Amino acid sequence: MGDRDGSGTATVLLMINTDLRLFFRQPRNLVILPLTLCSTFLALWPYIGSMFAPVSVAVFLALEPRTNNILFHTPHEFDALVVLPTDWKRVLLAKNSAVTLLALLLFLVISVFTAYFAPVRPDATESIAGVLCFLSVHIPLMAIGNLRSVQSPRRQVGFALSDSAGALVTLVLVGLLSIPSLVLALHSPLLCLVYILAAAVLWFRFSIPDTVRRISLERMRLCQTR
Amino acid sequence: MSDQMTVLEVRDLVKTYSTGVRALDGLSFSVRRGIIFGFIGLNGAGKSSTIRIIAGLSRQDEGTIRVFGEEVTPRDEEYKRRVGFVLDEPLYFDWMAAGSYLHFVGVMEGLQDDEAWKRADELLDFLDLGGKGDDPIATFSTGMKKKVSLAAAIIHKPALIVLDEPLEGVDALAAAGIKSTLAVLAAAGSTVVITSHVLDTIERLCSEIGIIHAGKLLLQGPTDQIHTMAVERSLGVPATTLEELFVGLVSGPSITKTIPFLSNDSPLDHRSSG
Repeated sequence: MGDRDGSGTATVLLMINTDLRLFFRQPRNLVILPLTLCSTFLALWPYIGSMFAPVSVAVFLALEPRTNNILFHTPHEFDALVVLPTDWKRVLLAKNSAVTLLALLLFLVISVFTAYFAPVRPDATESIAGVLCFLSVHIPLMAIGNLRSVQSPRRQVGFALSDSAGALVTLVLVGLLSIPSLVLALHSPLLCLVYILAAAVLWFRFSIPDTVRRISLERMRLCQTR
Repeated sequence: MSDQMTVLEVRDLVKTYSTGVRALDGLSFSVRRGIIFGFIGLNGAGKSSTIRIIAGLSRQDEGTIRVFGEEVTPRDEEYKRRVGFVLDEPLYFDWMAAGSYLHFVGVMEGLQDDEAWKRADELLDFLDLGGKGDDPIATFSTGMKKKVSLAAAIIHKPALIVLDEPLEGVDALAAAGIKSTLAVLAAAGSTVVITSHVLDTIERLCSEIGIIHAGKLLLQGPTDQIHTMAVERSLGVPATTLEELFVGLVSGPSITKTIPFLSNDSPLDHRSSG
C-alpha cells in the first residue's frame, strides 16, 4: 500500500468533475429549459426592474436539489461514500464548488438568452450589479443548503411534493437574502463585494465544519433516508 | 486488546430495528488473519445487519467491533482504508463508466491518479471486463455489476475484504471470476469474510465457517473440522455435507412433510389444452 497520494486537491478536483458530469446526465435538470423561458417572459414585464432578477431565480430553482440536497445527487451516493474512507470536508468543498460553477454557468447562459429578447439590454453597470447581487444571494443560500441537506435529505429527487416544498423554501430564502444585497449592489458595489467576501469566509469557516460535524453525528439517520 | 492474529472481532452485538425485529442477539465471532471466512445463515439471520454495522452504515445497540485490534466507532473513517466492502445492494454510481468508477474509488481511497487508472485497467482485465471499461455500469448484467463492486472493494489492496452475498444472482462464469479473485486475494495475504447462500461454494472456498441463526452464532470452526465440532458439542446433527449440517443446525430435527394432493393415488392430469 505504498502508492498513497494523500493529496486532498486530487480528491476535490475529481469530485467536482464527477458532480459536473452527473449534472449534465440527469434528465431532471432539463427543467432549466422551461425556467429559462419563464425568465425571458418575466424580463419582458416592465415592472420587473432588472432582467437579472428572473434569471437569478431561474438558476436558484434549477439548482435547488444541488444546493439543498447535496448528499443524495443519486439515491445511493451517500451510502457509497460512507463505506469509503471519506473526508467529508473535501466532499462538501467539492460539491459546493461544483454548484457554484454550475450556478455561474447557468447565470451566464440564461442571461445571454434573456438579454437577446429583452426590450432593453443591460449596460455594464447593471450587469456588474446583477452578478454581485446573484453571488451575494448564492453564497448564503449554499450555506443554508448545507444545513438543510443534513436536516431534510431526499434520497430521490424529481418532481414530488418534497421537491416542490424545497423549491418553495428556496423562493422564500432568495427573497429574504436579496434584501441586503439589493440595497448594497445598487448603491455601493464595493460594499456588496465586501458582503460577498464576508459571506464566503463565513461559509468556509462555519458552514463547512458545522455540516461535517452534523454528518458525522447524524450518519445513521442519513443512511436510513427514504 | 485483541491478539495480533485477529483481524476482525465481533463481541456481543445486539441490534433491534425500529420495527421491533431483533436482528442480532448477542452475536460474537472472530476472524483470524489470512483466512477466507464463510459466514452463513438463513435470510434474516443477521448476516447483512452485521456487515452493515461493520461498514458503518448502521449502528449496533450493544456490543463492540474491533478491526485490526482497534474498536470501531461510528465516526471512524481510518479503518476503511484497510478494508474493502462489497454490499448486497447497488452502492455504486451506476451512471459512471466502469473504468471511471474504479478510478474514482481508487482516488477516494488515497491512490495517486495514475496508479488508480493502472489498477482499474488491471482489475477490469482480470475480471474479463477489459473491453467494457468505457461502458456505463447501468448497462451491465448483475454478474458484471458484482464484479465491478468487487474490483472497487479491492482496488486499494485492503488487508480485509468483507463481501455480502457476492454470488447472489450471478451466473456460473461470473461466479468463477469472483471466486478466482478471492483466491488471489487470499494468496496475497488478505483476509476475506464472505456471506453466501451457496453452501457448496462456501465449503470449497472457505478455510473457516461461522453459522449464524436468529442473530446468534451457532457454530464456528475450520471447514474440515466443523462436522466433528457439531457432533462434539452435542448439537446432534450427523451430516456428511455442509448443507446437511446447516439445515440440521438451523431447523432442528427433520420432519418429513407431504403435499396431500401430490401424494394421493389420483392420476396425473395429462389433458391437452386444446
